[in-house]
Amino acid sequence: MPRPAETTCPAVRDRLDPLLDGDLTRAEESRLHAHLEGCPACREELRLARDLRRALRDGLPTLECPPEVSARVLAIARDEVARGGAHCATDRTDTREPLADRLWTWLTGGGLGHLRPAATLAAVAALLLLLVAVPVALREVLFPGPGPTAPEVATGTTPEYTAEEIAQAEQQARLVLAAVAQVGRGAGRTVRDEVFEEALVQPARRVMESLQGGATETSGPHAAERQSEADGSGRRP
Amino acid sequence: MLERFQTIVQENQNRVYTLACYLLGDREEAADATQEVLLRLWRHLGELDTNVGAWLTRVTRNYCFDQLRKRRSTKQALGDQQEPEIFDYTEGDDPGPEHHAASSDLMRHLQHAMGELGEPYKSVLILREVQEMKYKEISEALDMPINTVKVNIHRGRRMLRDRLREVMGHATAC
Repeated sequence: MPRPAETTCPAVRDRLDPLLDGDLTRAEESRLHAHLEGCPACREELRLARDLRRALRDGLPTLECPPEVSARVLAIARDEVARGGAHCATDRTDTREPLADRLWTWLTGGGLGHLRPAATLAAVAALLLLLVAVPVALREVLFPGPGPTAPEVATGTTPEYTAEEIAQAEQQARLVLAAVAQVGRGAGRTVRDEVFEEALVQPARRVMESLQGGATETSGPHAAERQSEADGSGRRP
Repeated sequence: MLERFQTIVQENQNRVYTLACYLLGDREEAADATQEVLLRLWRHLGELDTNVGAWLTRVTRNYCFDQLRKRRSTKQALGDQQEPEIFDYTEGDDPGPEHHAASSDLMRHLQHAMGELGEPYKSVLILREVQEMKYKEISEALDMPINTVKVNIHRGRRMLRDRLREVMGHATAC
């Protein structure tokens, strides 16, 4: 006499896991046990199912995370909090980060953080060029006309920029240079002077030369003084 | 916020690392994955409401799948047809010779079979058997209906059983 469908061997084997999980109704359990009593093959299958569960728990243990992983993660979090520019969303909603920190966050996190240090440096150089070149180019477009000659600029007799413009330019330059320095520190390396010169200073100088027809450096009456402060030479004009 | 983050890291780092290890089959990659997942948690901690554990499981699983996809495409690009080595889960945690004598055969076959198991069966089995998560927790973590979770776990176990029966010579055919 044929057995009911739910107690055929394939159907019983499909229900062994729910049986071990205790997910079956009392009636279903009774039917399955009745089948198992008379079927050594399904009993063997049940034994294998039990062994498998035991083996999965014993053979695939919870592994211990190397301590340096959490140490690194917590150090990054602490560092961000210490810098006042925590990446954590709640912290950021409390106070608005300073502009320099937001720029730093962009450079090292979502914006350029995935780049290698050399590529980051190149990207920062491009940013510097952009910051320097765009205002100058805009000025050329908006206020066309003869610019100051080199001697005029050198002697400071014809101020090319207003004091406000100079202050803004200085602020931009400081911001970018501070970001460059932080990129270097963040990458755990310092940038050699000659690399800095080649990657940032020379391209910037070339752009300025091409835009201003050779007069690059000494715009404004205090340019020479600023230069002496910047390079640490202490020279005075 | 930092204190809360520190507590969550201490409580969950092994869970994240274990899941990553079993999914990726490589301890070094699993350590990198754990670091990345915990940093993502730090970035989003303020936006998370309650179930951080489910969030961590989901992000770990997605991150590992991304890594596996990258690994596959790199292998394809290099024309490498060789199958990956099966991860020895017990490496570095040697429990001693007695344990080996008692279970080495079954464990070896089991680990091999787990390595070959496809998705989503591998993930749900790891969460259920290794992480000892409840069906409901798995359902939340994987954004999968609870009945689908149960079916996948049962199918995964069945596949493992079939594979073990095959390699260990259990004769249970009806």
